[in-house]
Amino acid sequence: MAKTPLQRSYLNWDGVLGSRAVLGILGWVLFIGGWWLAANAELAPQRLFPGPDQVFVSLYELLTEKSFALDIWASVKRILLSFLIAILIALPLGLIMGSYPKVDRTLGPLAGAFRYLPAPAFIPLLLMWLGTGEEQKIALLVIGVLFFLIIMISDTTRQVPKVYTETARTLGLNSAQILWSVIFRYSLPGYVDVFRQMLAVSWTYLVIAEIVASTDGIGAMMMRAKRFVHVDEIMAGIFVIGMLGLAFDALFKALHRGAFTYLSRT
Amino acid sequence: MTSALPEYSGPGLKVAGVNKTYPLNSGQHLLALSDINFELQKNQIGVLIGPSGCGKSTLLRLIAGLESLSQGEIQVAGKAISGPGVDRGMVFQDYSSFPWLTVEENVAFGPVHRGEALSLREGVVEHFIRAVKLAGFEKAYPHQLSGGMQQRVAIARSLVSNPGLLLMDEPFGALDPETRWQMQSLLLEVVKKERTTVLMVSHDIEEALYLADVVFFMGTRPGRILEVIHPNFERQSDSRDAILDVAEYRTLEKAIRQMMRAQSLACA
Ligand SMILES: Nc1ncnc2c1ncn2[C@@H]1O[C@H](COP(=O)(O)OP(=O)(O)O)[C@@H](O)[C@H]1O
Ligand SMILES: [Mg+2]
Repeated sequence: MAKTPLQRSYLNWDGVLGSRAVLGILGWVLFIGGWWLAANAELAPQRLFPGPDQVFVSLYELLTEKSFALDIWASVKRILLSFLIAILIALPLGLIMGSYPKVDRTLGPLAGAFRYLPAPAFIPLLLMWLGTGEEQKIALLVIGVLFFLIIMISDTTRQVPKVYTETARTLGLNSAQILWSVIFRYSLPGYVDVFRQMLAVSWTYLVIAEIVASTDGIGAMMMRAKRFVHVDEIMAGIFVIGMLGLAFDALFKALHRGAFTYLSRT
Repeated sequence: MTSALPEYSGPGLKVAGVNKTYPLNSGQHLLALSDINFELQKNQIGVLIGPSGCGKSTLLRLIAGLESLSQGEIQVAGKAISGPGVDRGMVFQDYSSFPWLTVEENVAFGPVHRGEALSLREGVVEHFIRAVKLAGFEKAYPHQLSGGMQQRVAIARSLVSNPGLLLMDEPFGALDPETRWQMQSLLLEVVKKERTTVLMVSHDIEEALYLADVVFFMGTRPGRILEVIHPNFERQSDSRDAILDVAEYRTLEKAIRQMMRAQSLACA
């Protein structure tokens, strides 16, 4: 690329700043540095606006002294279980809807409408039907992603080019075989992508699910911390949720790359 | 070995009184094909040619069983068809190799899903991979192949099921001219050796005359067969260009080109 006069410099900044990783880290350094400065400028009482150093110390203490790892595990279990249930419902439905226009015209508008109902609005109902236990939390997390999952899976399914299903028909496959060996198989990478995106949404519902009558979980820890005005612990909770979200995202991306090598163009 | 039944000796394909109408959104009907009648003898190559929109693809899809007939009957090797069947193979213009399967797995796709034993299909799969000159590419994935190679996979995948009739809808239409020529010679070689009856759609007069034992010229509005041409000059799969010097080839090429032009003018 040709340089404009403004870009000319004696250091090779293009080389250093051209690296994606370096730029990514730079963003974090700026964010944490700015946070530290703001916290130390005493704009607000330290108790209400702790700096990053304090938050990391309290995260360490949470893990070593307050068995925070068990809370994290409880939350991860809820996310995984609820997501698995949502997939088990949404995948067959979305697959059938995306493959058979008549089913789609029947169920599509229904799922489409439910998608716009805010999941937290179901909490009072769920409390009455399921009580305050684990079932209620799982149900809320399922509802939070289910209808989006159904719609996105049926959209993905509909993308299968006709030439593949018609080729399969001329090769003598029956409808069930085409559904499984062609439509599902062709869509699989797309499904994994949908799962990755929707799992992120699932994490955003976690705290809401764990605010109500919870004794364990990251959200419950944050509610306990609020009672004692431990803002540093609340922030540590937010940080951990963010990190877990990123980790699962990376996991799905790695799965996609590893399992679908046939998509790579080389 | 002798079989109790005498071998079927009628035409490989018989299309009788076929009409096809499509419902339009306006509530009216479009007559896409009108009173189609023709026969294609066994082991012959028929080519459907005509201006675009005259119903070539529709006719081929009807024979494949991918569309339902509005009227008439289609017989393949003496039996009336209903729906798709393994007795008819289909190769589309769009690349259709399943991207998650290797060349070998693509070619074996039909037999595998019909539950054929590995020992039965193994040799056949290998035979047809070699026939379309893809030996050495058994483990390659479609995205690693050129367009011509992908169409060869599609041809091998169809032939593996031993269809009496191979249907092809502009199979080489997306290929560059050089590759298209090679593919035409290869196809000629393979289907003559395997004794497959072929019905192919083409919009390329030269391709039609090089490959066809019989050319069906179609016209539009409604789609119908206007002319049946039997080019009977020698052609060799090893010397693709030789026909360009044949006088009869040039006469026929000119005649078809004029019919094409007349049809386009009639539609304009
Ligand atoms: N599914 C369909 N619904 C309505 N009209 C169609 C459909 N398929 C094809 N047609 C119409 O039928 C006519 C013939 O189409 P086609 O067989 O694709 O022609 P060709 O292959 O010769 O170009 C065209 O006018 C086309 O618009
Ligand atoms: Mg066509």
